[in-house]
Amino acid sequence: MVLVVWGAATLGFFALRLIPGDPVNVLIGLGNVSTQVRDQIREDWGLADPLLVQYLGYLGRLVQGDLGTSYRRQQPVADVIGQQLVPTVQLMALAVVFALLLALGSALIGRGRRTAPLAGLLELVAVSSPTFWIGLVLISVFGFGLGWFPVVATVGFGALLLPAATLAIPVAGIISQVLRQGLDDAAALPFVDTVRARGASHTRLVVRHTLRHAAASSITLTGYMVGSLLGGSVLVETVFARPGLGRVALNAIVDRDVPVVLGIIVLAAVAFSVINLLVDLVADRIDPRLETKQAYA
Amino acid sequence: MSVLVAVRSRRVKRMPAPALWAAAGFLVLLVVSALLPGVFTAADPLRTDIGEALLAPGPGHPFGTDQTGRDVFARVIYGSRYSLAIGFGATLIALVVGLVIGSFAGLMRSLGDGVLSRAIEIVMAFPEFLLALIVIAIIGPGEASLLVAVALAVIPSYARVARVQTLVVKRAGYVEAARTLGVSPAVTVLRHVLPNTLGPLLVMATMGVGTAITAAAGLSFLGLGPKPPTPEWGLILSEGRNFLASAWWIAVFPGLVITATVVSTSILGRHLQARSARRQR
Amino acid sequence: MSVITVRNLRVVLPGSATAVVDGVSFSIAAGQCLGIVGESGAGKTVTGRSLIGLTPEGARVTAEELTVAGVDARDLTEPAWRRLRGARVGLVSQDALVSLDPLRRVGAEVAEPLEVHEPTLGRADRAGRVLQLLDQVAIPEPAMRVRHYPHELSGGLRQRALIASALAASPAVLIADEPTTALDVTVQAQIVVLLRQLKESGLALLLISHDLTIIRQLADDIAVMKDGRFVELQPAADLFAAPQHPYTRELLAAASQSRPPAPPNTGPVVLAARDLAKTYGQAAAQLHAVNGVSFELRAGHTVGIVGESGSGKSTVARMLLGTETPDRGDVLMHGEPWSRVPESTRRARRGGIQIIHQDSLSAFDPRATVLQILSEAIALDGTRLGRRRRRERRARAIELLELVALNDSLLGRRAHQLSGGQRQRVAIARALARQPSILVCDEPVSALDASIQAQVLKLLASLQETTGLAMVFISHDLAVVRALSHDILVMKDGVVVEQGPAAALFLAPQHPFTRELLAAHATA
Repeated sequence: MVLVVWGAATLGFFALRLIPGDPVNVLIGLGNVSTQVRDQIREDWGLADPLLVQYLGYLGRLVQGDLGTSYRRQQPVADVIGQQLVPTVQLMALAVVFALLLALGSALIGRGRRTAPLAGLLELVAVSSPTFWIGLVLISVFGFGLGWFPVVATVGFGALLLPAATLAIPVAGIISQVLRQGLDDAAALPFVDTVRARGASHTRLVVRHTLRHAAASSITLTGYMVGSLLGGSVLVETVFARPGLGRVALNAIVDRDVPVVLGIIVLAAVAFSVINLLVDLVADRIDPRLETKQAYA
Repeated sequence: MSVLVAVRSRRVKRMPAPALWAAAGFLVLLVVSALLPGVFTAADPLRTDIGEALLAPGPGHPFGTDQTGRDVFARVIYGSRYSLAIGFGATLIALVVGLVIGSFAGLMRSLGDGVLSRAIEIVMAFPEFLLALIVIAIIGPGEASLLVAVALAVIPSYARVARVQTLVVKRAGYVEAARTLGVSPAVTVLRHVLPNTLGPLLVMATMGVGTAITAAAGLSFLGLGPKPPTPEWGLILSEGRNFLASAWWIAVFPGLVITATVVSTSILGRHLQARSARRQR
Repeated sequence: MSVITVRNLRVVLPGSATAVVDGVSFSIAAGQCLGIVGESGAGKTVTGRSLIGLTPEGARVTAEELTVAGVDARDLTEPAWRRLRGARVGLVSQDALVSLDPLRRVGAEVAEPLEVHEPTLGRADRAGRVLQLLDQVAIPEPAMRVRHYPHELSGGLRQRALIASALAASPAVLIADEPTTALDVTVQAQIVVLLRQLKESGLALLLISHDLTIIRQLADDIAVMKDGRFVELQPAADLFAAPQHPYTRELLAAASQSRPPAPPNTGPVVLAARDLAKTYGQAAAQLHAVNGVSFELRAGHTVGIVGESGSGKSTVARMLLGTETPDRGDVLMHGEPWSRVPESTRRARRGGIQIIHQDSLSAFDPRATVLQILSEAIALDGTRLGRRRRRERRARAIELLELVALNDSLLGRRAHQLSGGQRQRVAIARALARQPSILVCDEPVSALDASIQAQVLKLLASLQETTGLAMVFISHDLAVVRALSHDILVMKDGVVVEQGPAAALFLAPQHPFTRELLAAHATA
């Protein structure tokens, strides 16, 4: 985990040095200032030091939880991110709930001989639709067309529903695909005959047996899912004009606000590592075979 | 990444023939429209006419017109060349670079493989879209940037699949069989390892074209791609966003075309995948 | 009194015109066992499954009579079948590792029939019953085992747990479909004993197997099945004493191949293993895969290596081939060092020693046709390397196919388009393309049906006769090793426990393990 965060910070740090142009320009905005002032700014921000010194300094502060100071907003990066973290986490959490419900529903219903092709098609369309387009369609149908949801409001639960649904749909499509595949794969395993030979009903077979196998194969998707939600939130927040991390990231990238971009990179790496750790723990609980395999390896 | 997920699954159902033909047909139309847009529309995608602004879809304008009276259908047709160029270009770059990095890592012992696969792992920690954004931050916005950004963002996925596949193939019975027959290592790699590694990657790339087109459209939707009034799909959508209340068609039709493109590449990819799965069995 | 009566059972699978089960009739009384023997695809499994209502979806099942434990089972609805399954009829299938839900504990698996059929039973009572059941099938320390997952148990215990779960709701009939196939011979014998005890306690047993040895140990009546029909149904003793149908005689013959006459011990020693040893893993967890294996192989002779899975047989094969370097000891080929020469030197001489694997599907590049597979080997043939024309290579490929009794219609096929027997023959043809003096066969027929096995073994024997090929023949199956070998090594846990001429070994086995193997096998 530490390795991934360190690696991400390092790659990010050096990659962002490749940005052409003088970071001082970002710091001072459009104003015109003398060379002395520029040098002074450079000195103050530590930009005059050799690259390695800057890098080690950054790592040192990172270990203490200091992400540096935003060039553009002149406030600590941790604050910039912290302020916008809540709306994004709310959005993602609700999207996860939506995605799981949609996927579970479609996976369980879409297994009949007639419903399966339909579910397959819906999944394919859901997965293939660009997130931002889904958002636009939802707005024009439910916002402008039916008038069920506010189009411009950014606070309150009602304002969260459409963005969360937008974010959830492609993810739900993928989870549903994998779940259905998992259920089908599990249904083809030999133990299913044994279970049925015990007189168990189809419902019992799915709930007690195959769903668990399908979950085991889907759980590894979690990391991908969170990544996709994070990437998607940039688009969704733009479409719905919501505040949040995605917007912070986008603005920082457009403004070339290196410390903020780096902060988001580190945050994403931490989130990725934590989630993978959790996924491993849960996967072991669902499939006891993994634990033994690791113990032997 | 949906690509990766699809490649991983074991039992692949066959695609129904009509779906396959529809997908292939749509992609052919798309390629034709990119090369010879004039075949489909006589309208000029850049000609503005305020008198004809925000017309709903109708006989003269199948997809309606936008706020400056430009024909949305023509813009979508002319836009296909940007999207296809980026989709195919980025995928090709990613495929080649990914294959080289991945099979290199897979063929090397311990150290080289360790360093490369760690690096891939770290980069894979990032959502592809975020990666593409960061690349744009470094090289600046624009059409060429889109291509490079999308390609760089997906290279790790291809490299990872190539590496894993190389490792699998390297241990396959037929590679050992070649060794016991007395075939030299270099010939074995060229004749058995590389071709069998390439198979899954081609499947992945087929589906990847669609993903790349979506990603590129997303970036240009955010204003990081070509500048207006270029008829690029993402850009059209982002302009349409401001007129959702009165003119839904500006945003809805280009999006539909993107979705149809991605659906088509997925269908084609899965067909290839099912075919190669049958062969392995 | 019959527990099962079947008259003129027919099963037609969806999308097929011919019946997989075609007019089968039999009955089984309480405390009796009917054995159905036949090769894969004969319809054995479908016959068994139609007694429990688990034929493949869409299959049409008809019968003049189909009575299962007193219930007329023709045209039963799915809920009615469910009341029958587990409570009146139990099913035990192959390999409990996959036949028990791998994600649930053994206790939960054994308890499931009780939950389904006796829902009023309290939690504590149910737990008590589960322990009783595990005890009944002789699983030691049942209180501990219920908390284990299937993969944490040994193959034998796992199969016992599967039997316990089939017995949980006290059925009157047990359908055992290849119940011992995945197990080692010595464990097989234990499961047979358990099944016999169950039968003697009054259970009606339908035993399905491809293996006549197992059937013979349990069945009172034996049905021989081929292409959906019972070609013969007789009391066991009569069947062995006087088989009526030619197919039965063929099966009996395949089960008791006699060893070939030993050629004189005068040929040159082509391969010699000296004190081979190989360990895997690090210090504490070190595993002696092979320890101290020595033998000599003469031209025209076969050395057989027999042992259970994990006994180190395949490691020996890899060391002989030089794909694995021994930690200690040496292999000499034609009297010259082989194990420790650089790979490039070895490559030039690899043509002299070739191998046939059990799983030849994975030994062929999935993209290659038979012609390409053979051509690759032909092109390597040292003397005319690179000078062979395409047409000559093709002619040579056809020649090789004829040598293994295949014809040129297969040249364009890919490995997955061949049958198991054809695939194994192509593997042999490819090995012969390099004109080796030694052929290592690692379980070459284990994946094949008995009659195909016999054909492939016959092919190998005749090749040896005509070409003077020396062979190392490795198998877990004593019958198969016996059919070809002149000298035999018996391996257990990486060590050779007994070694000697085949005749002497079968006549007077010295080591207890050899006797155990022979006993498990001897009933045939």
